[in-house]
Amino acid sequence: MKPGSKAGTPAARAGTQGKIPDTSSRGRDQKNPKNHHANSAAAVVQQSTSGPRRSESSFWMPLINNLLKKSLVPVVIFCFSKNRCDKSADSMFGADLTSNSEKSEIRLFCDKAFSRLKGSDRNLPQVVGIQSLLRRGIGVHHAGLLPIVKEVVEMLFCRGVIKVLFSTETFAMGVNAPARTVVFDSLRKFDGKEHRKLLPGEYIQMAGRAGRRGLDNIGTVIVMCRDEIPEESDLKNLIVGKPTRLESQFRLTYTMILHLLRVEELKVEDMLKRSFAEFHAQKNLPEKEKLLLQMLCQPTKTIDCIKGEPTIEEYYEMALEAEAHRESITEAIMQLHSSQQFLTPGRLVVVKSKSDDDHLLGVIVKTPSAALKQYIILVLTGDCMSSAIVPSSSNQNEKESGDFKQGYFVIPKGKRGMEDEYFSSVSTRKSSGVINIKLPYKGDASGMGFEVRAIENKEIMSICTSKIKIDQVRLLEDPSQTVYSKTVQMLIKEQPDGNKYPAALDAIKDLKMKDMLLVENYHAYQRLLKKMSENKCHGCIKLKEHIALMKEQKKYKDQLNELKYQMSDEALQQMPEFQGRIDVLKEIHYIDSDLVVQLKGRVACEMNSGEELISTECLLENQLDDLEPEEAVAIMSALVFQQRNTSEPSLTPKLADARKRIYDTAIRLGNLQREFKVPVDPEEYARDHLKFGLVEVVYEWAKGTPFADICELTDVSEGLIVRTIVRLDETCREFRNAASIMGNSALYKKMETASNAIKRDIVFAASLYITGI
Amino acid sequence: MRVSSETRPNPSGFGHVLLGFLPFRTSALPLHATACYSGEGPAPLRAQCASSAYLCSRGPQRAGAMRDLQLSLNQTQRVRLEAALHELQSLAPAAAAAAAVTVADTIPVNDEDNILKGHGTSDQDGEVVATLCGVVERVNKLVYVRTLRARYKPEVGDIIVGRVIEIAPKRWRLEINFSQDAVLMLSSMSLPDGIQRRRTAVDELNMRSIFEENDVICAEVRGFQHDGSLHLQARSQKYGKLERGQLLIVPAYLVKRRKQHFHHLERYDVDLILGCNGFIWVGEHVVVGENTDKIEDKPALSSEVENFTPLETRKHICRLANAVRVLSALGFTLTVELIIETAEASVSSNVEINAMLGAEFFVHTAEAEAKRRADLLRKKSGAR
Repeated sequence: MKPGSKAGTPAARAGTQGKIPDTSSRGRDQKNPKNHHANSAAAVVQQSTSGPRRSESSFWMPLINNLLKKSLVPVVIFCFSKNRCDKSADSMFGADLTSNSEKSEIRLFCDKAFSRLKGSDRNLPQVVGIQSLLRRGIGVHHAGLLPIVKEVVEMLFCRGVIKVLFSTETFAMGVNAPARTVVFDSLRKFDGKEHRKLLPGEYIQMAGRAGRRGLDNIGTVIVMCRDEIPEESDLKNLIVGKPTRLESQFRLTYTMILHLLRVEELKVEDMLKRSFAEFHAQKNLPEKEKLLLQMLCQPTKTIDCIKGEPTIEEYYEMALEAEAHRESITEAIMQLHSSQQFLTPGRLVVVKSKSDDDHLLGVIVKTPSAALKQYIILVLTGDCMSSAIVPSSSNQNEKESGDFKQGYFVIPKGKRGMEDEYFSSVSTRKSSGVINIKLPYKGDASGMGFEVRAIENKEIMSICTSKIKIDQVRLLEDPSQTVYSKTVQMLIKEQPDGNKYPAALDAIKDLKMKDMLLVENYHAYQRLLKKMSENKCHGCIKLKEHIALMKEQKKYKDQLNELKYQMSDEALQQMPEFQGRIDVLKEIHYIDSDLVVQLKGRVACEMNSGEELISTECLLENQLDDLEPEEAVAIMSALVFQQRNTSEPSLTPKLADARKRIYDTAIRLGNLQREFKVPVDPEEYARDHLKFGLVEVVYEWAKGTPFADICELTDVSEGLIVRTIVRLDETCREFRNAASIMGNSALYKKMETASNAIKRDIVFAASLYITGI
Repeated sequence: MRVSSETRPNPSGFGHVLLGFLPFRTSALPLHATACYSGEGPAPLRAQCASSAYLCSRGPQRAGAMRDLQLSLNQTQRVRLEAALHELQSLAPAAAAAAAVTVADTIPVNDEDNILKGHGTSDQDGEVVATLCGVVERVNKLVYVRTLRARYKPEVGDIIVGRVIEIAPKRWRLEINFSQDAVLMLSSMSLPDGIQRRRTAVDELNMRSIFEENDVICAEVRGFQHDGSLHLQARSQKYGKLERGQLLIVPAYLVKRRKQHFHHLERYDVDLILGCNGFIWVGEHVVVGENTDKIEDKPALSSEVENFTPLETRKHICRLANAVRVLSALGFTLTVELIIETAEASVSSNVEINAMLGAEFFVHTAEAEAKRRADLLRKKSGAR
């Protein structure tokens, strides 16, 4: 197959008439050495997902002819893979779109441009292949091309002599070369992870290439429909859809941290703050600052204690603690089997009131059933609606529970009516468990307000020892005023003195609480209660007021702390990762405990092209020592090469050994980073940053093998090889600088030799843009 | 008269003082510093003092240009000093002392792990030999000699203080105690108007209005150019001309790289800049940043008033400067804490500013430092 292509080369070069197409396109197709029939067959196979279709040439030709007729050329056809670009271009073997004068212009230009290449490079299949295409007015442009070829195509396209250009998305990005028409080969592309639809932003970028300023009035965009017509909604979304949200691509790297650490001027935290990732959080900062200042300026209300020394803070803390204890204890008590026995209808309980500053005495009217999972309890609300004198404390009490109060004051006298309205249908059935009153049901009897509510068992504060007789049926199913007043009176009787409750069941003795922890908790709670009662504030008439004040202050303090936190560096999104990375750097002695950059850190600062930690460790472990310059540069190629899936290179034992060493280093570093909670997977880390696909190629190149031969060694496209080697020169320079920091002249010389070895021929041919044609 | 500073390396960082006092030492410490000792005969009772106070233009301190520390110790002081120095010597970590090498010393290495020879090492008949005096450092496979008393060697990001010696096209040349002059380009300097723009020919002509010859300025090391010249940058409000203060020149190795080199000592209203190159600036505090604009906006305040430094501040500057002098004469690493501590000690023991350079305070400082290090060591071992 190679001889075939080689043989085809001179023929193509000789052919002034581009109408002899077959040999030439065969020449450039060396990477995929198939003839055209094979090509179209491959195309069919490739397209088999979207159904079989006609061969490429018959597919593109009608379109091109049509465009030519309507004078809509030049046209850029966007295909989303290098392979498809090449194949499409090759399939146009019958087409000749240029006039004779254009042909000679192209020919002259190409000869001049490629004259800077050395002998064998001039006969590279790609160089020869593209010339025959160009002469017919067809161009190809993608990342796999040699830089010089790419530049020739770009320049010729800008001159307007290329009529049809098959290109990947790259052409829409860096190069300013608009066309009259843009054609989309497909509306789906593979973005390295998945096959997906084009995004609106991408579409606009590419479609925007249609129409040349000053030349065309209208640019035309054509979307090819192969076998299936795209959905209208998809198209609409594509063309006028919302652009992709901008997302921060700010990556925290070790190099960045080290560079910032060695200057006093800027803190790393400042850098993080200024990144786009933090933009939204930081945008609100001035407002927050203002708010904070405002809050700080706000005079805090002082609590003037009437009993002299204010111990309210202490009291409040104790109350909070006691509350927490109580919650855990009651919860446990309610779970206890023994307590269930006590919670029968008629049992007196103390219930937590909604306004939380006082507790209410009540009686269980109904225990939970399958239908209603709550206790129905009749509680005394403490004050009488009809009584004129309302105690100030309880007045405040009601103010806090808004809806409660409304119902309270609006309908005091209309109670009868309400009753009639709601309870006219009196059930005659006995103890059927039906509740015929609306909960909560409020009323007053014998000078005392009462309420029937449904409560969760956690609201029950304590269970009392005493029990009263109640008429469940009359209370719930057939509400009668007399029964209520009787019950209320009984309840009042149980209250020995206005505010005190009947004796509660002892959790340990009566309820047989056994859990050690709970018992301890219970004792702590009791102690706290005792302490609270000893506190001066206990029983103070202003207690409620002060407690409310305290609550407010506490809230204010919490708010203040939250604001302060948000404004501090700790709130930065990347702060945990930053801390992790700092720890890693400390661990491997790149910086000392005072964050001063050490020698290793200074070496790492030089490493910009490859992963800094791997490069530095590789250097300091002297892994390049026993390697020849060619071998060293070959191993270094792993740091800069970026394609994932390549053919496996065949390595000399020495190189294979070196490869294993550097891979192990990467794994070690990966493990270390994971230890310090940097989100890194060792295997992936090593694989991401070390790609050995071009080791053999670079080794051969550094030894002086011609470019045409090294291309045979791999399936990586020529353009990528060139790019990698150019970057490799940069890496050599960095390693050289690192060697001078360490003071090792041998390594310095080795890197210089390596750099000279790879700096030759087509790889380092000067750009046409810079030198001019 | 100076004892050669490139003598025996001493990891504890004060060995040269011992040398300075060689004549009245009895026979303590074994000294095999023969190779490069080029002292001009026995030194009389005179401490080597590398620090010299420079006259700063427009500064309030019109001190003499050079001033060496002259000391005459009486018998008691001599004994006390010797004891203190001896203690300091014994406190030095033994490991560091063991790693110290002089020129031509063989550095022991394990042949199996192929080592990477760094600075100050050379291969001689298959042995690794030191070509510098210093301490052997090992980082992974790298073996190099860290010099203890070499000339200043710049690193990127260092903060340095330097003196303008020449104005060349688009650049100033600065003396920074390096083997060559540093270059500060006009383009790597924020202009007084604070606008980011291209530098024009007019700017070039006005360069003298920014810095003149003999101005003392503060800048940061930007890096080495391809031709090997050292470039500085001063793209920040805090860099720039230093006025109204004293420049002290101490050996560069006494200043260690730290996170902070700019220090504002609020208690004294004094700025202290510890340049990595051994140039130390003690001067009146200047407000940097946005506040300067506000001050400029303020009208009035005649230049006389503006240039006036209160006597109190001047005294503080002198006191701190003298503290630096004493410490550098003793060869202690200069940290801001130590400088403040020394200045405080002089205040608390009622030592006049000029008496700070006298024998008594000198001995006192040495003793204090010996005590401090002993405490530190004890605390450390206690923690263990």
